[in-house]
Amino acid sequence: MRAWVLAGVVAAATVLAGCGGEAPATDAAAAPDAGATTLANGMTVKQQIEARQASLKDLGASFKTINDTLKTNAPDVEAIKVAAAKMSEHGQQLGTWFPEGTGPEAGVKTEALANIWTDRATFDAAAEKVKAETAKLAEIASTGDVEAIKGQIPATGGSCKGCHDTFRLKKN
Amino acid sequence: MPPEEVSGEPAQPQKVWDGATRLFHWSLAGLFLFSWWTAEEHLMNWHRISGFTILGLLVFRIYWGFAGPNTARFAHFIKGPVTTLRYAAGLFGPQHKETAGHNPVGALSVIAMLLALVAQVTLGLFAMDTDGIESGPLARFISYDQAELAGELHETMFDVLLVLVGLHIAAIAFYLIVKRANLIGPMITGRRRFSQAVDAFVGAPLWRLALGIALAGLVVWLVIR
Repeated sequence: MRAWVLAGVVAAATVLAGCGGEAPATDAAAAPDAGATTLANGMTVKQQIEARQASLKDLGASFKTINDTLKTNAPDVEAIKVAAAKMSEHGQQLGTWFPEGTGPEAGVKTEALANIWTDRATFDAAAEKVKAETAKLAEIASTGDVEAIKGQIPATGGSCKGCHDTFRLKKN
Repeated sequence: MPPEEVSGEPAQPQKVWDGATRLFHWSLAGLFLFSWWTAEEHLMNWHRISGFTILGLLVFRIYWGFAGPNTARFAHFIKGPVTTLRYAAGLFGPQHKETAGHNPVGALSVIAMLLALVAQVTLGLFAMDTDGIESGPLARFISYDQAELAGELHETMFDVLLVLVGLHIAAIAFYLIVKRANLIGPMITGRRRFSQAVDAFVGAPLWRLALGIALAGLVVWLVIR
């Protein structure tokens, strides 16, 4: 009997240990007009949030494209040029995607944390870093020098993390 | 007739597990922990190395399940549903027989863990983080969305593995405390004392071991090149 209890406790403890606590991304609010406020740039809050999500995803996908081909024996330099140019384009704009009112308080699903706006100076500095590193990546990519491109990868990825580590919702 | 009744002396420990199987078991346990820790600490190069090593171990173990010593072979311990249920029901009865190697219920655990580990390694090979920064070597063959999903499933599968490992440890504790059978020692030394007559150990020739190692090495090389 004692053994079954022990075994049960060990198993249960392990199961519980495996269950991580999860903070869900802010759900769409009950109010049907969540994110309907119009911003200075003409977009509604909802449109701005969704637009930046699409652009950020494109940044990630472009980075994947570059990293994927760099893993092969004969990296596709033309594909890298195109992807890096896209990343740079997004990088130039990134700082403008987070106007006041487009945070979790808007009631639209977003992984942006409130500290972007409470710690704006730090966020803006991180956004500047992304702008700089993606521009540098595009410039280096245009030379076609694979080794130099590889050399710029850590700094570029690091600039993404520089923001995400602090200002994006952790998934687990 | 129990061995000690035949000879009049206490039964000698007899060989149950070969060295390769034991090394596989403990290496896997250690690397499982190392993989978890390196992921937590975001030491992704080490995490990948750990995963590639686990891949090699799994390839070897599956091969060994067909080509290894008798106790390592799947055919030796995987029994049909009737035999397995009968064994489980008879755990406390007078009919209970000790097994040299995995018993039929333990076999289920082995299958579950091996399948889950194969799934985990495969997902890891195709996985990518949201930012496209860290990824497995095979992620380049699939799309961004697919690789991101593989990464998420890789994280979920870890929780499944944690449950299986927990059950495994609980089972070993059960045998130790209730059945008074220490199964940990035999997996270290390879030898176990039985109070009944059990199957003798039948080894595998060295060339088969070498072939298994070569096969594992080949698969890992193909994946990481």
